[in-house]
Amino acid sequence: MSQRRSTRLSLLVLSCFALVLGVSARAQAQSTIRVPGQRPPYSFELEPHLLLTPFEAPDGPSSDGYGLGVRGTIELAPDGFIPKLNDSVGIGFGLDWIHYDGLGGRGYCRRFEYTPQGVPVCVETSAHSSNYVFVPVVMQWNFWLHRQWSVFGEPGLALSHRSGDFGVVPVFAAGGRFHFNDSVALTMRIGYPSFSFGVSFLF
Amino acid sequence: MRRVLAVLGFFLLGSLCALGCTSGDNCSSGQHCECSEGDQCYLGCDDDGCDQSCHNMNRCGTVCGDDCSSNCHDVQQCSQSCGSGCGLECAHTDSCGVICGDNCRLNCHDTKQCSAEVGPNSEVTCQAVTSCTVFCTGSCVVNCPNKGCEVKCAGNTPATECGADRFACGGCP
Repeated sequence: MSQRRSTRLSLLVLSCFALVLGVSARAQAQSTIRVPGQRPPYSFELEPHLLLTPFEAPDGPSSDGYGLGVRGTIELAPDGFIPKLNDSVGIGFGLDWIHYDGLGGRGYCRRFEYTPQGVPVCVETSAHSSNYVFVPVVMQWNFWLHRQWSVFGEPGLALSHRSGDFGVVPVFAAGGRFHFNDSVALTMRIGYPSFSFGVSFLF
Repeated sequence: MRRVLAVLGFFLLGSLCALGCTSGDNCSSGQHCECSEGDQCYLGCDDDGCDQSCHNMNRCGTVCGDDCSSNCHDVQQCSQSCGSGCGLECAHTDSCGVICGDNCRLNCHDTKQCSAEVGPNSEVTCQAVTSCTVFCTGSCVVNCPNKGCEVKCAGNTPATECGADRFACGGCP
């Protein structure tokens, strides 16, 4: 990982810690984590988001990437896995587009031609940039900490597609929401293959 | 309605940010670009005149315009494609596939399989190879000091043997 990427990642992680520390004192007084059911009522969450990733593309050298996407999460278990905690579980489906910059002229082969003897020769690479579409399917485990704050963990898998190829990549993320009201929240996610920052609409 | 507008606004903002971002480093004319270690890597040159090197990988390849040099060695599956006036070397590989334009100079050695399609006025040398198959789309010379070469000319006509382990399309030099 380059120095530029490490710095960017460190700043992001520090910002998250600062955010969490900043709200924790006030949040303690109004905690809802031990009051199951005290949270915004909803059955579907729609979350358009911006994406940033410090990671390389799944199957080729690349620089970091950015993009857009949307996530839809259906609530499956309103009472979650732990009866005494205010948790809930849903299943999330998404569609994310990420553009990766090239890295020093290196990439994967976008198009092969063949010699008369059938030996493959690469004639076009992704050296300058590449675009991926991810279709993630995740389990979303929510913890409703406070009237305005919730956090979640998201393990899952994503189908990845780029020109001429499909693959499957693991998905894991930890995220948090700041709830403006019962219907709208700011949502941030840190994980792989990308970080996200978006708005959740709860229906 | 307000929610729909908010979603649309969000995507518009994101699109503007994406368009404004800058691209990363590139392999440019006159520069040396290199890939080594790992599973696979393919080097692309921005334009002409790159100096590309691929080594110690499972699959590696170089793609370039004109007047490039490329060296691929210690790779299982190596590929080199180039425009005109290129100098290519491929060595210590399981297979080496090459497509290049006119005035191409290819040296393929210490390799199991070397397979090339070269343009007019090109010269190929295959040394210490299990098999070397060259298809010339115009006039060319193929040097084959250790045997194992098959040379075909445009129209699938066989090449002329010029003696001293040398083949040619379009007449011996």
